[in-house]
Amino acid sequence: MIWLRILTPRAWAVLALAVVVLALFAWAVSSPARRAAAGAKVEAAAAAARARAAGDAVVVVVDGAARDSRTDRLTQETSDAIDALPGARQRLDPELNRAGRHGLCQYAAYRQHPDCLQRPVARELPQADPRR
Amino acid sequence: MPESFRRPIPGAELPPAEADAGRLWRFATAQTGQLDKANGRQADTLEILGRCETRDRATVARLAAPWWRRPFLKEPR
Repeated sequence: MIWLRILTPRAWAVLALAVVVLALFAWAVSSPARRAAAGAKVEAAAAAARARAAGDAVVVVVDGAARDSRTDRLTQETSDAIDALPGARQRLDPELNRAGRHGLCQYAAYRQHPDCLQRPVARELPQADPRR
Repeated sequence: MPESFRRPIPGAELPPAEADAGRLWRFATAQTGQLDKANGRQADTLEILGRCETRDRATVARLAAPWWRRPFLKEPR
């Protein structure tokens, strides 16, 4: 260990301290930079993913709108065909209509419908036959 | 998720109190159309979610992989 004698023990201590201080300084400088770089990388990846997700959603929404249009067209064509038949004007038993509307008014889809809120449909209903 | 997906699909128009047979069948037809739309909306939602999950998994795998493996991993689409 002759090379240790190049410097005095005090000089070695100072040198060791300097190395430690330098190492700490390098770590302190590089750590936020590393964190910032990693953060930027994640942010860039997230932005790219968001852009791809938006693109995907647009494709799905456009396809869905076309499908809904086909459904509306089919509904219209079927309704027109029904209307064209003489049986379409056949009257229904008013009790049947009342019972049907009463039932529909129980569902969330119609619960807030003005007709369901205004009419006490339940009281208009005949009592169900217990034998059936 | 598209904003329009947050609005519910409405039911068909409530048949009038004095509905005839035609009105009732038209209601049934329209209601079935609305059901088709609602089912289509559900399928679309699952499709978007599925694509997001696949992309997320690929992104996480890329970030978690060692630097020397990243060039060989598939780019998330």
